[in-house]
Amino acid sequence: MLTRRTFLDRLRHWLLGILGLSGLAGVAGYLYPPALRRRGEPLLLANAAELKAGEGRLFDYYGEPAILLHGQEAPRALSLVCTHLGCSVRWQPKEGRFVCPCHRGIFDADGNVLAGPPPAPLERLRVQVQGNHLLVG
Amino acid sequence: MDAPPAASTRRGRQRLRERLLDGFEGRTGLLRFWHLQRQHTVPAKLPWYYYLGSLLLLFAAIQVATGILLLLYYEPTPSAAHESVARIISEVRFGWIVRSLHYWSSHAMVATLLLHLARVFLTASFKRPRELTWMLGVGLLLTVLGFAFTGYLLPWEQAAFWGTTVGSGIAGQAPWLGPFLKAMLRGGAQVGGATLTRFFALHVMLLPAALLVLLAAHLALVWKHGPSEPLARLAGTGAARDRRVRFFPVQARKEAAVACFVFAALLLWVAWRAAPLGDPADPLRTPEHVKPEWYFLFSYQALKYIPSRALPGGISTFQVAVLAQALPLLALLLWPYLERSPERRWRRRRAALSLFFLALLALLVLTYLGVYAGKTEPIFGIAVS
Repeated sequence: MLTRRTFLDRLRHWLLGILGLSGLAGVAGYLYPPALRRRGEPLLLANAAELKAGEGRLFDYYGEPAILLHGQEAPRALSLVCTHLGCSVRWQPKEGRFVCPCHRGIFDADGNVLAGPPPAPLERLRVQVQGNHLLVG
Repeated sequence: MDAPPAASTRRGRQRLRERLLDGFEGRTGLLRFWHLQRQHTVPAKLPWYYYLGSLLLLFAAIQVATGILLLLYYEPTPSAAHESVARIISEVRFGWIVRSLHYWSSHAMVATLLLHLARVFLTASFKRPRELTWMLGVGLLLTVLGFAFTGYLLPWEQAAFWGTTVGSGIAGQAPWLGPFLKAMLRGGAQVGGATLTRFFALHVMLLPAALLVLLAAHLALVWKHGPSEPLARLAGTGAARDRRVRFFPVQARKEAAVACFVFAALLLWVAWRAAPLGDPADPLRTPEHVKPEWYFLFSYQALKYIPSRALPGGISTFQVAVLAQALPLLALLLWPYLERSPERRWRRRRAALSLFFLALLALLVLTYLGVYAGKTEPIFGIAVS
């Protein structure tokens, strides 16, 4: 039979547990970088639509290096962070590919893995054209 | 007849000293505590490898002392960190000695810690009643590796910058919690100013606090249970086998002498080879063949051999491999409960020792391959990637 004392003891333990977990969640929230929370919000790239076919433009996407490439069709944006261990890949315009110097990961111009250890393609960022400007993300 | 004035003064001084000591003892109880500790005994003629623990205390003391001195000049920002370390080396008087001592002593500490761990394992000193002492020791190993990982980035060198990028990238590959862990370490999407601030805070605040708590608990248990009987003594007979000596002053004096010798050797090493300082970090220029420090090389090299294939549940074989690297650590932590027999002699511990030497061989081979990774010439006819 649940006595009033046992009930109050259990209630106290539950409340303390919930309070402790809320505190931990608060600490985790404080430690989580604000820049990453903003990631996903569209980023305005001024005068980017002027880019000619075959040209590339590096930009900072919430702390990550990224590139805007103008191919034959529409412009596309790719994160330059290698999906293997996070080194920055280099764009080789002549070969039309990205190479990660850390462990020789190779990606094609669309970010697909051609060779090396990367487990996934480079992250593709959504591009929307707004007049002469571009919205990325 | 009155006592001569000199004798009276002496008696007066003695009375004053006794009153002061009585007052101090009445308020703290430290004299009685010290008197009890002086009765503590240890087995006589401990072999040299039983001194590794006290050497770790020496290295910890060097790290704390030189760390505090470096803090007086170091500036933890991306624009100033490298320059401030260069200034410590070139402009601050004896700065190069302080920095070199901090640098080399940290390497010596990791190496000694690994040797100490191997000694405790090989002599089966972790067995009942020292299970908790062992677990606290493994906690100390992780804390020291944490110090090494965070301290590596602080001079803001190119190699350290990219080594940290790869290191935190590996943490980010852990299934489910990986991206969160990576964000917590980096403080942003990439290694940058926020990472330096976080690593600095960890290096000088959080990790020292953890070290203090773990070390105090570890030493208290070492003191309570004493060192394990050396294996050679277990095999012996008669009075020589049971001979014990007081820790204070007999054993303490020996350990202090060894510590002085090692400190002198470290000073000579520092004078011969000052700590290097590489090029400043350049986030826009990824170097070829990024590598971590020697103590993380085996793990890094092992991950290179894992092909990345998709698995059910949205995870890859590489992510599983990253997670699997935590298993040996967990086994190490819980080893006293995995090898439960009280037997300490080698011939009765064949399975445990075979596992130990196999793991050691794997560790040495992977580290060796890691050191030579990226070199163009093949090793024993094999090209290392």
